[in-house]
Amino acid sequence: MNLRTQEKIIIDSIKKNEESEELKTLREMNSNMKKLLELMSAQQTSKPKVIYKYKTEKSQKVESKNIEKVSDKSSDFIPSIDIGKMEIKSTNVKTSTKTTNMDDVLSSLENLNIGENKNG
Amino acid sequence: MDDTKKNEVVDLAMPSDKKIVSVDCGTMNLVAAFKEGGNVVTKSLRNMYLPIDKDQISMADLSKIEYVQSEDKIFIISEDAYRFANIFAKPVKRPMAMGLISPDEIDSIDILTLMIKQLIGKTFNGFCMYGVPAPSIDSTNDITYHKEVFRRIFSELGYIARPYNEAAAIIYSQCQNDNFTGMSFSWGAGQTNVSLCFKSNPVLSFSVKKGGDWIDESAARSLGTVPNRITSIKEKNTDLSNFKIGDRRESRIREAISYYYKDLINYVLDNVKKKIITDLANMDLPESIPIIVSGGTSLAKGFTELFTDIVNEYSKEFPFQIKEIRKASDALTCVAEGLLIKAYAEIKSEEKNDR
Repeated sequence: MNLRTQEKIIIDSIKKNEESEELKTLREMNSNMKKLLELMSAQQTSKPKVIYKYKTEKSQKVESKNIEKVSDKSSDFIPSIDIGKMEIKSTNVKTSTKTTNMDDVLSSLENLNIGENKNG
Repeated sequence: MDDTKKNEVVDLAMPSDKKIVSVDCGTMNLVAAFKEGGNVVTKSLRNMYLPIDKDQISMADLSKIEYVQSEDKIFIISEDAYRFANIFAKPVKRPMAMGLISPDEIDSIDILTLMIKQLIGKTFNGFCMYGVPAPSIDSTNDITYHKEVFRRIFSELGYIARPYNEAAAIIYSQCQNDNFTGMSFSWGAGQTNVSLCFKSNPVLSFSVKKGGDWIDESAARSLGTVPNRITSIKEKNTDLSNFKIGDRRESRIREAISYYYKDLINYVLDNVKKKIITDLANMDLPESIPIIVSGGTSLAKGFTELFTDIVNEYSKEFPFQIKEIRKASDALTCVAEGLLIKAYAEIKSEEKNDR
């Protein structure tokens, strides 16, 4: 979305004195962009590579892109003693999968006659 | 190459592609659920760790186990911590105690953050419904700190987080055919949570400070051993109708476990009775209500039968008939599954209101 279109959305919203759907989307996109820039900036000082996976607005296909190329030299990496910044090295997470018809459950929930709930 | 240099994948979803997850923050297990195609996938990790000095263990010993390291310490994580603790006869560290973040363990929040990140990953546009216990009626604990610390953890990982009562969540995953009406018991490690819901609305929710850990600690105290040892035996072929399994020592431990199980069930039902008398006296409830049994402590063989026997002694004082007493389809994942349904229901309803 170019700057002119963004400007138009903002002006339209000001004129109508209400927050349009386009403005909401624009705000979220800008917020995402800000986070992305912060992360890229953080990655320039710490060395692990970050692969950003995102969906493009047009194709809705998942694309992966190596936005940043960083040195792999171990001398560039300063180990942190803050365990909050550490990664779990291997994984033994237990995983299970169940077939659940979420739409069916959600429509059952929607169909509940809340008005009959005498307890409010 | 240092393993900490491995690539990290961050989802940069577009605003319309919210990553929706749920997490059951249990004292013994952290369980996450999310939708994948037509399926609900759950992932779980044991919620525990074991710190050891780096010079106590060689890197070769660590090659196949789950751990993180600081300058001078190794933190063995999850199931591996439990195994190592049993080998060294040392108690594991638990980030949570009695259903809440432990005030005794300084590293709790960091370890919890790491494990949750392992389960749900990072995103920029996520929504997470996480389980919290109801306030206890037999202790002065407060869930505000616990609730807000978890909210911060999820927020740091990129999720807008919303807490929901863990026992009420069971009704969402287990009572679709009962119009989302039922009474659920979540027999956890740290505490036991109870909720009575009518058409998905909780009308009574509370917790008591006793759970599976209390059984282990009480049996360990009675027999002069460490709670880990009791937990290990309890989780291996416990049959509450027959404790004469294994050698004499093991059989004695199993006997103690079965006595404390009965005591726990009686204690919880005494409190249910009291709460019903005080809180539901003037309520018009449906004639019959199903009871759902879940949580890791309920996995012992014979638990539901023992619980049913004891409930029958109390049922005359309940203001409703018990339709049936049944086990949850999966005692360990039903809370996370229910929280996920609740998450989707709230998002759907909010989207509808926005239109």
